[in-house]
Amino acid sequence: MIIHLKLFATAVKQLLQQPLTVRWPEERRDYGDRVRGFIVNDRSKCISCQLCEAVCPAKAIKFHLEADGRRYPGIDWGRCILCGYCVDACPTGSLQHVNNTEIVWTDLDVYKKPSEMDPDDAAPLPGTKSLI
Amino acid sequence: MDLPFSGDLIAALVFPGVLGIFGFLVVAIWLERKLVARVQWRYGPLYVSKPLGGLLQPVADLLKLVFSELVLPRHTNRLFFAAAPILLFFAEGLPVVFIAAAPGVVMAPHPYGLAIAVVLVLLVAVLVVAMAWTEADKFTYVGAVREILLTAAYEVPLLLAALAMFILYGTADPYGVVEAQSNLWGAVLNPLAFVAYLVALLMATTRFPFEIPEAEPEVVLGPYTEYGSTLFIYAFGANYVKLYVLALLGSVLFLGGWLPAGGLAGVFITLVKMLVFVLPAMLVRAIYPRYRIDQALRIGWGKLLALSVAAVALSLVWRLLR
Amino acid sequence: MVAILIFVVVFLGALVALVVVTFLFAPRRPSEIKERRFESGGPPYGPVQRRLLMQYFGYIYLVTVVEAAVGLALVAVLTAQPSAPMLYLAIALLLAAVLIVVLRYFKVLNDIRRWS
Repeated sequence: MIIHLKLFATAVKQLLQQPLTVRWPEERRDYGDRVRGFIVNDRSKCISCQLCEAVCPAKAIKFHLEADGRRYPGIDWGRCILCGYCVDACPTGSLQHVNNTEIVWTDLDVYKKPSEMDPDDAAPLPGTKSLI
Repeated sequence: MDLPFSGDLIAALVFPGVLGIFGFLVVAIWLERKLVARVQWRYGPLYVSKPLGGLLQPVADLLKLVFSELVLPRHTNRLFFAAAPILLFFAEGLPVVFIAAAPGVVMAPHPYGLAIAVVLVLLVAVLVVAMAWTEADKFTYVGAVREILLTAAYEVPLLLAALAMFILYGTADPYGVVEAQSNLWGAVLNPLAFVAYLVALLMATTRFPFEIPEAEPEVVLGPYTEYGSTLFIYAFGANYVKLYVLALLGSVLFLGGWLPAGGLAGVFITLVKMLVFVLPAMLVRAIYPRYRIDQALRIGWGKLLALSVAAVALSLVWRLLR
Repeated sequence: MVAILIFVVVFLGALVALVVVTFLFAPRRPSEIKERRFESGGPPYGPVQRRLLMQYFGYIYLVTVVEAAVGLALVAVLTAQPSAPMLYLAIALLLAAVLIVVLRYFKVLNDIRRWS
């Protein structure tokens, strides 16, 4: 009997708390600027060393020949686990994480060639509501 | 008296009647989702009608369900399959005929009205089982068996709680019952019966600790598994209608009904008092895990039976002292 | 009496009308899978009817008896003359008997396999 009253009291106490979740997409959670989100490639720095392909544990990265005669990495977003190994392995720092984790595609064909990766898709999304 | 404003017509069409039942369906679903969300530190439904706090979300959901495809499975008797949830929903709403919401606002004033309402509430379990039988599905079959067993657990305590109050008041007339509570509410005179009734209400409407017949992880939706579109509203909403009826009955039996006021103000007071039963029934979803069927049976025939027998004894003592 | 009729007609009418609306206006794309028995996505197999779980059947025996007795008590209380001490005594005795029986056989009731 007492335990049930305690349970109800706990529930009522939690009822008065402010919600912890965010009302996406009106407000976004601010996770700081070090989130492992989308991975973008700065082609001016890329030396096509293929270290990222070798280190990728999910085998999401494949290299493609582009119009300028060099090979650049493309990412299969259905496989990518956003672990960041490729970013760590990149010797020139051309692969970088972007502060955007909303990786959504409308079809199942989620392999994106380097030329198909529109930089605007992976623009950083500023969060408005901090976690704490 | 003017025909459109006579009390029994208001009762039939507005408050305990049709509009009240459908309105309660919407408000209760919204309230449940919102309360549970707030307990779990979420916002709850806000997408539809944000200024109203998402109150129109259940309306949108129900409209969506009305305009979704009506599938009548081939292996069932299609007529019974379509008729069972309609009959169930109707039968769950039927006891309001005998319950008064305010002086004059009652469809059928009857000297044994509340007793008839209690019996009608208890009779409905048959229709749930019949519905599950018509659907002819393994999950509905298990759900029906569980429903029967759960009914066996709550029927006697519910009847005994009602019996305790009838002994206390000496009548089952809604007016007489409320008049007898003019000094002290029934819940104060006989708190044991009130608690027994509240737990039996949770069992009867299969609210959370006793949500055994439609346990989602075990039997998909129990007796409602096969239904879709409008028939799903009826099959699934029937429990909310039962909650509405039992809350109305409880507010008349235990909380003095419309008492401080009469007339139309009494209707609002009854509505507010119904919240005493509805709010805990909504909140338990965020509080309790689910009992096993044998645990529920043991509670029903153990503690709850003892509590309700003690309630009757208390009423007898009150009656003999008076 | 008129109010009850109006309630029944309006309530049932609304319920049936909503189903008719669904029947007439909802989009329909019938397929064989939709009309099958629901088996959590798998193909249906075996009969639906199977042996009833008799494990807790004692409770159902009990409820048929006790509920009838309590119903009789309800009728007696509601139709009795005011202040009938004998009636109250009878109800007290009845409930005491119910309590004693349930207490005595509570362990056995829980499982039909203990019946002997």
